[in-house]
Amino acid sequence: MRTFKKQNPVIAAFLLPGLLMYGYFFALPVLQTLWESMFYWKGLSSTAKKEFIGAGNYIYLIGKDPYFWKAFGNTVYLMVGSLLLQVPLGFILALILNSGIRGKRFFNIAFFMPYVLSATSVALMWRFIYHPEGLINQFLQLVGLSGLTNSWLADPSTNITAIVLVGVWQGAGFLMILFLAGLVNIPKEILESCRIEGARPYQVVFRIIIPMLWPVVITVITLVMINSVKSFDIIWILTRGGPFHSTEVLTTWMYQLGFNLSQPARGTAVASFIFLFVLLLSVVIRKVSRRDSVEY
Amino acid sequence: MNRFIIGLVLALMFVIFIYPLILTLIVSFKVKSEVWGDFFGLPEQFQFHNYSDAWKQGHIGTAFFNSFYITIVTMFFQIILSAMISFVIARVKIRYSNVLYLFVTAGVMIPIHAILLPVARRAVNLGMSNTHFYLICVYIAGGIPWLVFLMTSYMQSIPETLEEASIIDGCGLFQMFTHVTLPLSKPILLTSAIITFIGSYNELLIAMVLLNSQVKKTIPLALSAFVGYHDVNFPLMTAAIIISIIPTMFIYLLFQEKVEQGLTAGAVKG
Amino acid sequence: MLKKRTLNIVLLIALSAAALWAAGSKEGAEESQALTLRVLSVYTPDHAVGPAVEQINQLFAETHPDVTIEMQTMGADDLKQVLRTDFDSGNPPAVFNFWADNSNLDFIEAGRWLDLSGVLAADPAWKDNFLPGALGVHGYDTSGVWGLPQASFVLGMYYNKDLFVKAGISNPPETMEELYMDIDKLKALDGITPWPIGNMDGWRSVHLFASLFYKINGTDAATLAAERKIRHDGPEVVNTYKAMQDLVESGAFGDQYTGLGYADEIALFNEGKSAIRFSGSWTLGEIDGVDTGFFPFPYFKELPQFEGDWFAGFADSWGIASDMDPALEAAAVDYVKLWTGPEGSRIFAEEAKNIPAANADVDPEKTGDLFATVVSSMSSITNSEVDFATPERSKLVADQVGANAQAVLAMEMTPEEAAKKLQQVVDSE
Repeated sequence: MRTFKKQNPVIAAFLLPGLLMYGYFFALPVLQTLWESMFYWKGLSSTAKKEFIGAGNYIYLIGKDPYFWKAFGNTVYLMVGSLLLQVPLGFILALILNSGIRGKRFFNIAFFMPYVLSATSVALMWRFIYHPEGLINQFLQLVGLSGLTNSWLADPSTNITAIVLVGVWQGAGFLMILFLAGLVNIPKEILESCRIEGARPYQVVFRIIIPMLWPVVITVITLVMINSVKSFDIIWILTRGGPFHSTEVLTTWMYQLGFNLSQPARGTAVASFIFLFVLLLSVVIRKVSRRDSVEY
Repeated sequence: MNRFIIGLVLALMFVIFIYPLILTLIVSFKVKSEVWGDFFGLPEQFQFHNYSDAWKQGHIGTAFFNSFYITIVTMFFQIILSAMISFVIARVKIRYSNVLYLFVTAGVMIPIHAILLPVARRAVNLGMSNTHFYLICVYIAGGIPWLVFLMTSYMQSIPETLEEASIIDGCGLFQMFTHVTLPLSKPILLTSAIITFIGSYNELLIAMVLLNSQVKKTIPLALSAFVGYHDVNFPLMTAAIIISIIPTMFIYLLFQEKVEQGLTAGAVKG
Repeated sequence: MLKKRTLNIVLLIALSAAALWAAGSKEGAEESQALTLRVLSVYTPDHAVGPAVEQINQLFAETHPDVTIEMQTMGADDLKQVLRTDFDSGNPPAVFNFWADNSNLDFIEAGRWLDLSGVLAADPAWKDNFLPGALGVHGYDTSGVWGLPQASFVLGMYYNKDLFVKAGISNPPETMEELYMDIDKLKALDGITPWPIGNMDGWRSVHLFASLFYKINGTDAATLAAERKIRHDGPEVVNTYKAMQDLVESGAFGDQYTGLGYADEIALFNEGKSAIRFSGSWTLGEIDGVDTGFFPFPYFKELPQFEGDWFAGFADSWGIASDMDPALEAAAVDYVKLWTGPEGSRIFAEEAKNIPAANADVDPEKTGDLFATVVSSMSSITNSEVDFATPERSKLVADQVGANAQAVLAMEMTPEEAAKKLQQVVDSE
């Protein structure tokens, strides 16, 4: 990389517009929220008198808030579930599509389709599917397994998993695209020579492809983790965090506190907590993935 | 044998991914009572009027215009601004590039609701509540972190040789950007276009809070008009959903070809 | 080549920037012209009250040609959120719907809502036309009147007359004991769920809880609980939870109720697949194609003193923002006057079959027999209370009441466990 010293004004011109937009319309509100999370107030945020209490809100959340830990647990479950299901699925689909099958474009479009839909549409479709008289139960009855029918979104033992599956359904196609972009850059010769030398498929995948795709893999993992923790719309429309808070996650709880339960200060604290939690995760991922990508 | 299994898996996946959409399509032709009554069946009569009803009742014509206009302007600025920032971070050695990168990409971690109130308050302070202008600015700002994240890693993986060559040829920074980096980044730029289109087109919450008038509504807002006090008018809503998906599908199909071309071209070079 | 490319890009950027700027300034100019009355309402076109909106807006336009109504409608959930954000950011609607809820105190204490007692006093005809109690709903222990209800309602039981005949039930039940017997008879009918309840929608179980609570303890007990004069883990609450679970075990709700919502209750009833619907009188506009009768929520034989304690009150209220331009404020008041006056109430009743909160000369042909039955039954009310959590000051406690009701109804908690949890939340405040 060069140090384009003489072109400093150009560099500034490149950076400033974007940074200013981002800084004023986005970063500033975030900093505001972080700052406000150290205060306590009741009522409307714009008029209420705010009292500085430092970490007070956070201490309340950890110690006395009735649903914070439930929400946190569900969020972690959501995150782990999404990672374990979405990433391999996206990867496998990408592998399949890259293996020279017919109708690649067709499947590409089909698998990406769910990502294109809005959260409202997705949630409504899946409400249909999970309904006691919906797709899944009807199908079970059809194949004679009516004993397994359930109220998928109402039963606390199944509902959070049901929500994970919706996220997987919507996101796998997008991950597939990301993986494909990386797979395409792997020269066919390398894969060919492996095959000739008698390497079994799974060896090729794990010893060659994944290491070569390592930056993409890390990007995808980070992406899935962050998005699952940030996820709100779909959960809200599907269950509102219910029934009886069984599917409450950090984002829905933040929303409830701020809008329905007249606890704006604590809502802000949850929001800041989410941000800090994700920040921590990203840092951890970066440290753990310190591995040079394979040069070729 | 291998082929067969792969084929089976593909078919199964295909059904799983596509069926919900087909179900939506079927419901959009039903009458309200048929929705829960005969779940899987085809409607008795195809209620085509659901589509015209949804169009009128949801003021979808106006919403389309608004959504397109907002999305395209957002797309344009998001991509340009992010590309410029990513370029500097990826290629130009400046002192604080790491800090810069972290500052910008940290934005990826923020859930929108967390900043809802400050954003809304700022709109009022600026006298810009209920304007498309402010909404677009928020969208642009919100999309930058994610795009910078994607673009920097992509730009970093482009071999430096071509860019070095251009410098030797006497190009300045700007020319290097426009003549070498951008063209080489086509796949990621097009992918970004798809992402930003989907992102701003489908965005509901901020639009709901920042826009008040009927005439300013975006498509997601128009869709929410079918959610009643106690229930949802499924046939009309699904019709509206299908209508609203068409542009996104179209854009994706359009761009997907180019993305493919870009990817394969890059592969051959490498 | 180079220059042309660059020129093109610069032009494109300039054009987009210009477009953006034009959009921004044009929108600014528009606003300052006409007198725009922004109404934030829950009466979406699809709502039962939807048709009434058009009529009323038209009537208003005839008498106020210089005012443009900007109707912003959405579902209740979204509305609550937009309302809060709007007031908090300083961009409030002129007129808006809201419901009795102690979170409204936030707005009132911040002085953002208009005290309507002034305009009410100035128009005695309008003021006196409200049903008794209507004006007291939104007092919130202040001397002001912060909202005016559009609807009055009672919670009760709607039943499919044909199915009752088929099951051999000659008269609708008056006591819970009779109800249990009728449920047994209804269960015998093939493919019929006696009384489905949509537990996915939180407010369903809360309404059931409150109704049972009033029949077991009287409506005053709700206020006592809110004042912390009776404990939330006491027998009053525990016995109500027990009554709920007894109903579940009787098979009244069927076996899918945990996954059903309010919309499903309506659908099942309208399709003749269920015999009883427990709902508020707003539901008159939602019933379709079924010969329907009404009976009050049954009382317990050993507790006849609470027969007149009903879950009833007022709903769908209108509020007006404070600190508005006087002309706009006058228009807003006129708008609300229209809705809650005799003319608006008549249209409201006839279009939506919803019982208004003010007196109106309704055409019985249009409102129907069921409407008349429900209205006349209201005369047997001796004590009424809205939701159990209505007098409750703490939102967290109110929320737990709801969560508990849902969990108890879903048989996920025992009555004792639930009551204990509720008391914990009460104590932590």
